[in-house]
Amino acid sequence: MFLHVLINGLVLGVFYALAALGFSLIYSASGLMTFVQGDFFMLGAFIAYTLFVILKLPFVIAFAVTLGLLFVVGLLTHKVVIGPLLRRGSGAIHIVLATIGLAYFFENFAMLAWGTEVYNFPSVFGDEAIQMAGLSIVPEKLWVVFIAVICMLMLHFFMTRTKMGTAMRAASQNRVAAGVLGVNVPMTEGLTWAIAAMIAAVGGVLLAPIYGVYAMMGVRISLKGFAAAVVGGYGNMYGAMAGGILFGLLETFSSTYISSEFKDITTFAALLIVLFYLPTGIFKSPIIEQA
Amino acid sequence: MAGLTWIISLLTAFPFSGCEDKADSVRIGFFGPLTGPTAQAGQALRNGALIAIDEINAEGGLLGKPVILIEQDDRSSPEQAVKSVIRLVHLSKVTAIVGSLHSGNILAAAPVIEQSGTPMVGAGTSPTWLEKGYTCLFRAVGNSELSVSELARYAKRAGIKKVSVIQSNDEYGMVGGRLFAEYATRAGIEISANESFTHGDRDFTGQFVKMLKVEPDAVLIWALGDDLGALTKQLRQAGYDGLVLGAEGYTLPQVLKIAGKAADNVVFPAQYLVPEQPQDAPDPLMRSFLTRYFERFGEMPVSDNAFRGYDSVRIIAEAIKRANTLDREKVCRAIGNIEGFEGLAGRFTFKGFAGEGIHEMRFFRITDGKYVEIEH
Repeated sequence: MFLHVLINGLVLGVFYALAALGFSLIYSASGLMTFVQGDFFMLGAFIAYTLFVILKLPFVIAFAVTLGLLFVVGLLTHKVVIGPLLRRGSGAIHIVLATIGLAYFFENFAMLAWGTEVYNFPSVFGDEAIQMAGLSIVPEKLWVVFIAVICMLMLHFFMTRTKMGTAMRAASQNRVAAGVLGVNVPMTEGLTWAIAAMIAAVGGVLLAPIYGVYAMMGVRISLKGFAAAVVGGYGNMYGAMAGGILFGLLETFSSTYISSEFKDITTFAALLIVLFYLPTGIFKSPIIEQA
Repeated sequence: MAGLTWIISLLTAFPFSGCEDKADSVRIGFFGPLTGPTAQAGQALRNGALIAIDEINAEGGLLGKPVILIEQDDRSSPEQAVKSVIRLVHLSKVTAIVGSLHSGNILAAAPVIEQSGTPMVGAGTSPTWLEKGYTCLFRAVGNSELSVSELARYAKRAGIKKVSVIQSNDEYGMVGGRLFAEYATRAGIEISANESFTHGDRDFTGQFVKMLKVEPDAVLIWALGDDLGALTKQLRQAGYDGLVLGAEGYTLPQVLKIAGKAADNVVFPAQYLVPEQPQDAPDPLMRSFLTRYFERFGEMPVSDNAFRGYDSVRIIAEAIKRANTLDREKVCRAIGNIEGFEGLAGRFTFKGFAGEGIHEMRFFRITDGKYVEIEH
């Protein structure tokens, strides 16, 4: 039973982690908060649904095209909305408002384009439980955790081992100095938005068979993801991963061993306690100082 | 001065100006969610009502007059429902009302409806709004108490001794779960676990672990349609393959699509099924309704609310015919006297039942992804 709860907690946790990563990446790159992350999840799920279920493309191709499209959506979000606002000297609060507006736009766009129903996304990796050592394990869940962890590792290597990743970290540390040293700062920021959207798309595609696909699917996940990013240390990539997984485990274990009715109360109480004792989150120093 | 009088007369005339050309028609009001999160179900309710009105007008209308539907969007909010109903009874002066699918909205609007003496046939399934002693409120569908009491009886007869319950923590789930527990306990069935979840949640690990630890003979899932697919799938994934007692929402084809094989061995009460094609409906009344619906809207009903809307208008029309007047109170009494009126939901008998018209449920079992009607 313990293992069963653990696996399900991990599955929930990696989704929160993927959402939290987007929040943290954008904050670390530009000091901005965003509320459109959950809708990138939803867009990813809908695009994958269109390619995989409606157009019947092979899953791997549908997955890759979805990631590519969301990369472009992220890039455009920065190019069309965030970048121009920043150039006009808009404050952080205006950007936050713009992302809230954008979230509404995407949700209503999805309702117009795909409708308001919940669409079924068939399981890709098999959703029938197999009995293993007295446990009923669903292969899909193991795959979800596996793919999410691979994505996180790839992100880690991209940020620390590649020139582009280093440039992104440099730009987030000091825009002016990085610009003087030849880093194209607006481009690195645009790239951060693109990567954040792409990570959300990974989450959306993995989430689709479990949640179903619908216009408001990103709302709940982004709320928990945001909380997870704060617990982990807002702006810290590793903090977001840890915070997300911690949140998922906490939610599943508290609903099993304490009370399912108070699941959200228990988890958000934990959030308050963490903030009270560790105001900067678990991973104290933001990525800006680490780099 | 003449200008001022002119403006005043224009202003006062305005709210009624829309009605003038409709003065010689039978006005039936409608309030329900036409926009917002439950818009699809609300629109299905409205569309069902429109089909009934089409039919009645094709047959020559009521008392020689054409019938029109005056629509108000309650946006799923009780506050808006009250405003909608005030407009319907005082401004549009409707003869009768087809009510929301949200029991909470009916509950909020009921005092206004009752005070004006307007009969309302509503689509909400919660028993609450008919327990207040209103005389002009009727239900176009069986209430959920009927469903859970028959489920408890079914469980008793199937030899079930221990049931674990999971319900949504909204009005529908809480009331249904509590009533089932009452009926089951009275029948000597033990409720071995009672868990709840928030509408829209998609991880039920904690609940299922606790529910299955006690090794129940059956599991009751009581929630609205859009959660049922995910609940059933995860319940099976958690390793439970026994009998599931289900809510009425299992009639939605979408639930079967999401749950797939996991939905096998689910038994649930319902009044109607939504077949894939109109010609698949076994009942002739249902078949002709679905054919007309498909012709007019180009799709099958997305929710069984379409049937409730149709039945509501048909019941109102029957009462107007019997009362032979548009007097609200007489129409109201005529509905209350209806006995054995054939609708999509079955035979409606309001006489002596304080607003409830349906007193029998059909039972279905899902086998190999198909609905099979069973004895209960």
